[in-house]
Amino acid sequence: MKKFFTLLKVDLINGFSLNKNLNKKNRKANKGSSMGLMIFIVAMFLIMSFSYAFMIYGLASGADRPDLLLVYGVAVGVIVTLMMTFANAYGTLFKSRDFELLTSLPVSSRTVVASKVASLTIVGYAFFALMYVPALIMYFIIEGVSVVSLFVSIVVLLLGPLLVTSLCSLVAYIIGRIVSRFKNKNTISTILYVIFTIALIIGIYAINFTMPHTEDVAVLQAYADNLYKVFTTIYPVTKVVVQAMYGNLLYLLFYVALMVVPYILFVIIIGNKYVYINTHAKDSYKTSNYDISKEKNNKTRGLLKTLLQKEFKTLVATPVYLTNVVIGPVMSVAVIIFTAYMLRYQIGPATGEAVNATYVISVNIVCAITLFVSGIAPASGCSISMEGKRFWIIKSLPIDANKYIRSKLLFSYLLMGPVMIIASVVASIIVQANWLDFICIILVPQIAAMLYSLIGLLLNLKFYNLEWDNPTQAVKQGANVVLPMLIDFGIFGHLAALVAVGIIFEISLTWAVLIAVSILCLVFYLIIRKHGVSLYNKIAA
Amino acid sequence: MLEICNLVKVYNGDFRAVDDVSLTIGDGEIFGFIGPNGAGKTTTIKSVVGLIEFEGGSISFDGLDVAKNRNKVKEKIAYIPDNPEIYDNLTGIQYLNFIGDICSLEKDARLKDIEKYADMFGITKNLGDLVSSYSHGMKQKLALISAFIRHPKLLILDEPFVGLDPKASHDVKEVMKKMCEEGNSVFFSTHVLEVAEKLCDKVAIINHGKIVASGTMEEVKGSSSLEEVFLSIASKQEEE
Repeated sequence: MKKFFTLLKVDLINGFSLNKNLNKKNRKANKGSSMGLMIFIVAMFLIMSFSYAFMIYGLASGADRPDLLLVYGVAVGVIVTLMMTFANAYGTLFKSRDFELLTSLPVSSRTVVASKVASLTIVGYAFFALMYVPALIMYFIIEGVSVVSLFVSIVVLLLGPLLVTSLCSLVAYIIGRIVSRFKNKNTISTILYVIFTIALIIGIYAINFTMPHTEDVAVLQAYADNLYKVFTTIYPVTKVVVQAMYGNLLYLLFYVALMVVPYILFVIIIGNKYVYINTHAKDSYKTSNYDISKEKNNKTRGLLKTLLQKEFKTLVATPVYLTNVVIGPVMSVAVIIFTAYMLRYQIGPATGEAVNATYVISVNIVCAITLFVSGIAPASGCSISMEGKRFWIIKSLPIDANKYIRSKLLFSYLLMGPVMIIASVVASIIVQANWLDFICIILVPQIAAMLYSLIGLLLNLKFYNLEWDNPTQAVKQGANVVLPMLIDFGIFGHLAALVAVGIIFEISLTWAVLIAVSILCLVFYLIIRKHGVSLYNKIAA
Repeated sequence: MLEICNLVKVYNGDFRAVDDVSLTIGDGEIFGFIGPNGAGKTTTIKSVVGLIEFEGGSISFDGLDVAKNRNKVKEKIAYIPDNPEIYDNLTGIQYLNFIGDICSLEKDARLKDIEKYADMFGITKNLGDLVSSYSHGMKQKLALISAFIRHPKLLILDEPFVGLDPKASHDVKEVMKKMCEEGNSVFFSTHVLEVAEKLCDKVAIINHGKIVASGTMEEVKGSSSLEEVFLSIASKQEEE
């Protein structure tokens, strides 16, 4: 047990750079900017989480279904934990650079796996608590606090992320087992991760729900029941939590068993195969039969092409990176076309007096949606961090910083731009946009893709992380990843308000969105032009 | 010619990792840079290459201010760190072509050089394999080849002999000598004092961020061995 805690402690100190972040000198050198930023990000998430919980509170109190808050808190907490842990699990368990060090030490592989899974769980706690605690507070406001409910709620909080961490570890284990049998490990693990991620997203999206805009108690109750069903279908364990909260001890014991037993089982199973999977997952295919005469036919490339090719090779070879930046565009196409289809065929036929209103709603919403999805996870947000400890190569070569920055922007744009052309053309045809709206709906996501590439790069130049041990740290963690997302929400929020004005006054404002996005894009372009090179030069390789 | 004048690099606001360092490396010279761990060797080297910014002093190469003419200077110098991390997902030849394309090296001449140095290090057959399959020594050799094919005017190496087998070490020394005969320069850090003593025209010893001895090999070591001089300087500094 002592060894487990020692491993866990070191893993956390190293993984979260605690020594660096808690050191007074470093804090002084950073002028508290990192701490301030972290507080800002947590505050933003808390505001978001409390807002959602408050919405559910309104429904739960109106429909007299306080248990809805419980199932919501647990289910959404688990979904968010799942999203955050899913991509981390494989990297943490099977791509970690401390594998050789740990296996050379007199400590069992089960203890190593237990410490790795525990470290994943601790990250999960933060996200689970973020969604669960606000809902719980709202629940206590309606139901009041008793000793039993307080005790059960603490148990739920303490054990909540265990099952989902076990599931993510199981997926990582399955991928690891499959990958270890193939020569092209990176390609196989990338394909498998993309498949699992798409399956996960489709699974969540498959459950359709819309909030009611009524004060009728019967309608509210029907919606509350519907929502209750949705959450309990997503995560059936929530039913057990509700029963436990009502003081049923057997359900509480069942919940504890459900959380703890799979966790222990997975530690044992993965522990037995930890060395095998790690060894095979890291093996590289070696032929040692290269014939240099083949090279004579190859042509030399220009700087931009060479840099772009390097970016794409890094992308393809890093499953978590690929999953993060490719899933976005793929899902964007689906979301845009689906939205356009829903608007065209669900709002109602565009006939008589409703023609203009229906049309305006459709084009405005499609335009806003294309704007929003263009900002999902821009590749530029982590492309500097992805250079990692190899950044010395770029910095020591005669590469013009401006051209390097341009290559990063182009790379990021190329991942989103072309896909968005297809999506916006199809959506425009579906909603039968006129020529002006057609042009705007096509141009908005193109300029937005450029805008978010600029924002992502600017943030990554400022908040880079080159000292990572597994790429997940560069792709999924840090201000450079969270901030573009928040900015996307911010820009979308403001421009959605513009679109809402258009809908109220029954005028198409796609052109206004286009102008606003273009101005923002120009502003960020000028910022990058002015500060990009100096930020690049400040990065210590 | 590389001129480092009163270089100062400060970390965390008050730690002077490099403190008023001045060095001159002339054309055709092999310059050894020695000092204990944490003395400031790598920081000095990284400042020269432009990997980090520095707080005080100036660095110029062939009359060009390094801070103001980064690219022009980088076109003339090649650098290899002590533990070169290379793109794991490229093959050896892809990595060399990447460097060649970035530096606009002419295709035929580049291929001839790659073949020459890869044969010398015995890794030609491995050039089609992923870098991730390479041993530490092979990665070191690949990194060295990427520097050699550029025919730099100044070659900067941080601990170049770590991880190399005896033959490869010998080959690297021969390439270094040949480069200097052609009028180019080599600036390298090392802990292997015997190598520095045999190979270098000039040497500088750095400790606690300050240069404690500098000059031609004869000026620095006199009739003693370089090891004796180094140990005596290091122990004096510890006493102070």
